[in-house]
Amino acid sequence: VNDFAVMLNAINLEQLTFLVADSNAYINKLIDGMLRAFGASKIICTQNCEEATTALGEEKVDILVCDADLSTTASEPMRGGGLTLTRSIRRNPECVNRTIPILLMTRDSRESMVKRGRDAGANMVIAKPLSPKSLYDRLSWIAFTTRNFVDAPNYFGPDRRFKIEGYPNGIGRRKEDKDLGVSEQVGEALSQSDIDNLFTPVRKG
Amino acid sequence: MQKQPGAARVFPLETRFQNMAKRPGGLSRDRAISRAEAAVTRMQSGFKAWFALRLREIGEIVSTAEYDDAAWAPEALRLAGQIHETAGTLGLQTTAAAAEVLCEIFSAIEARQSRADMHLRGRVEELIVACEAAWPSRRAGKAVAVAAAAEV
Repeated sequence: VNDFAVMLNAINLEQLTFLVADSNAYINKLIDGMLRAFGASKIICTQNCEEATTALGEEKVDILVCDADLSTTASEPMRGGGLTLTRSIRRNPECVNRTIPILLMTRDSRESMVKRGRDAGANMVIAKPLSPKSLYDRLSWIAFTTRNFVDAPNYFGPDRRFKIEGYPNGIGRRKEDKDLGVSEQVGEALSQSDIDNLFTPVRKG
Repeated sequence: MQKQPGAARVFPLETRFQNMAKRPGGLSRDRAISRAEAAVTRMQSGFKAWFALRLREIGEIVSTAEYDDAAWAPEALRLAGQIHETAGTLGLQTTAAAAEVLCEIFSAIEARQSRADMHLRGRVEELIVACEAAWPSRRAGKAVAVAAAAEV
């Protein structure tokens, strides 16, 4: 997430619909305030799985920011509803929001919890308490990182096999890191047959 | 090519969120974050009343708890967790640290890793008082709550 390319890019959140789902009304208010400060204008806040599912059925949502411990219903403060909601969105072929990015928030940032979030189909897991910086960088990461989707018998969601390779934008993290940019072209480009020749043994046999 | 039954299909996908978020014209990262920090600071004003309500709820649960039965612990843990995440997000580090200790205690009780006795009841009450005394200090490590936390 602390990728230079991500950090240097601004994200434009105008005209995007955010669905925020957290049982804690104060956290909903705080996230709403942060997203508006980032430039978002349409934010729907819900406090349990039932409300979130209704909103997903009624609105075309662009991104879901959901607590892993979301209550199932208003009267039932059962934990783990966010994971169930994520799985139900991903595994329902009828759901129009099936492929939306899902940012899962959790107070329990142990590896086992992060893996459960990943396996449910979340794009990214963010640890609580949140900070404006951590929220912005994760949204930015989701916006600028290209990931394939996987449709398998027991999983539907973003490809869980990914890693950041090489220096972003050719810039290293340390001062001493050298630019990875390609040098200026010298002479004419090779024709396809010249290239093919390079892969052909000079002497056969 | 037709998908084999049971085989995984991998396909590239650019969501509307990605498409739209990459449009030019958004706020710069620094400006967006500083605006959000200012918004969070403004929202601290409602915390005191909200916090007092959550503390009273925890106090009621703890004072009427049957220590042979940990059925009350999940609700207390949920409330303490809400204080922790809210205070932490608002930048009230001392309150967040004290609430985190409460979470650890309630979590241990819920998991029956530790026997809840009168000593534990005293510690919980001490932490609740420390939370009240510490608010709204933002300087971690200065309050009674942290000292109490270190003793647990």
